[in-house]
Amino acid sequence: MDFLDRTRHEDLAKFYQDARIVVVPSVFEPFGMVALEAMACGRPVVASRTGGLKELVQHGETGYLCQPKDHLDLAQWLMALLADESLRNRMGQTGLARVRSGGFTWDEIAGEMMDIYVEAITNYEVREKPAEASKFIDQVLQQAPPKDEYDWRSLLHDLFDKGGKR
Amino acid sequence: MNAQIFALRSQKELASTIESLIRTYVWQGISMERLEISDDYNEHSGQTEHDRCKLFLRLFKASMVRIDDFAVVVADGRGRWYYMGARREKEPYLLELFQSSMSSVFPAVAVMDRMLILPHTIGDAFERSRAFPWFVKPRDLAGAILADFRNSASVEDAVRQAGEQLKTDIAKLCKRHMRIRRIAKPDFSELGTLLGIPTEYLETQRDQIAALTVDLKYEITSGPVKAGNEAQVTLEVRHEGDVDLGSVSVQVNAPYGVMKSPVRATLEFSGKVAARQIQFNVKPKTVPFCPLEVLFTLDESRPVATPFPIPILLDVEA
Repeated sequence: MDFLDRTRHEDLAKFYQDARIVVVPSVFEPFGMVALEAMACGRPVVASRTGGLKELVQHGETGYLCQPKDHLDLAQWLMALLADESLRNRMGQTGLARVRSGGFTWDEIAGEMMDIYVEAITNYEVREKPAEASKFIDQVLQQAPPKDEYDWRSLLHDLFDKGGKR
Repeated sequence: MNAQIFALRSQKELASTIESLIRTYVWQGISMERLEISDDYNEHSGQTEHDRCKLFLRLFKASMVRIDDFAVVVADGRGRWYYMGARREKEPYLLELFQSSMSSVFPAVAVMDRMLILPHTIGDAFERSRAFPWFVKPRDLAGAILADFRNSASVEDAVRQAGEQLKTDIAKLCKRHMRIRRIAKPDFSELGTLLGIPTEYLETQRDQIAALTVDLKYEITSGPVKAGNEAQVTLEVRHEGDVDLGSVSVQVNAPYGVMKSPVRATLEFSGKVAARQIQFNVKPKTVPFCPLEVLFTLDESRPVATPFPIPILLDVEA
């Protein structure tokens, strides 16, 4: 077992390529960059069925997904891959193809982000302030220190109703 | 690993004898602290002595069965009274201790933050304690040994008992540590850090601790199963040791979705019975193996430790 120290980003590809399988046994993972990098290096990934890993790793295609914290589940898929070199190669190549076609380049990600902003601006609606909101604003203003009242009033009315009374 | 000897100034010689006995029967390398208290302990005895008395009271109270909390007031016999530890908090009961009875309370020996030896006269030391029922717990229930400090044989026997109790308690803690951490061999480094005991002391107890594990062997006797199909598996558990195990709880775990729930069974290993079988159903997901894990649990009163989980590979064919 080697515990690597901090590693330069440009050296990571070599470590991925030296591995037969890349394991990401996270308990929680928002995205799963390690799995994506491993796939970009043509390596099969065994990862926890959690967060972004569920979307990145296709069970039985680019690797395997196991239950978080289930060491036996993790072990069975690792043994399946260790015992079959052709399966490892096939899954590694499928993963690489998915990275190349899956919209994971910075240009593609930036384009998708732009689309989200454009949609948010285009579909923005000014809504009527509901009666409950008025009551809530009044309660907050009663609690606010006098010197801050103007700021609170302006902020809350902006949040709920741009055209509401000031 | 440390010991504290609470002794009166007039008990210096006795404290030296106790110190020497502790090094003989507990451990040569133990860190020893002598905490002297004036025979006429009073409010002017100084903060150091007040702190020693506070520590004594804390450890003494922990070694007792009592109905409520209490403070001790020391009386000089001339109508003056002083709270032991220099102050009273909100303790609802008050026990009186005359300066002339201090030798009924001291010396007292604590090891590893536990009061282990008290004078056998301690039950008569306090006045007006009839309204406050209490007694010292026995040594095997986190209590103390009561010694006759005027009798050297009694003192030696008490320290020897204290040493034995510590060994037993530490072996039990080690057994529990192995079980909770699911490790096959004692980890003296971690255990030493947790308990504040040097690994050198634990090494001196290695034979006793390591001999505690029981030797159970497992084998799947039902042969390979097919991936994706439900099949019955027979697991044989063999006990080859000399210890009569009695009832053993066994649990078999499998990867997620392979079994409906973990298998639990109770096996009886009494007398000459050496092998028992458990049968359960599995539906393996992939070749070439399905990893299983067997845990067993013994009644903790038994003198053997529960080993770590045993991994077993079930052969799976396509």
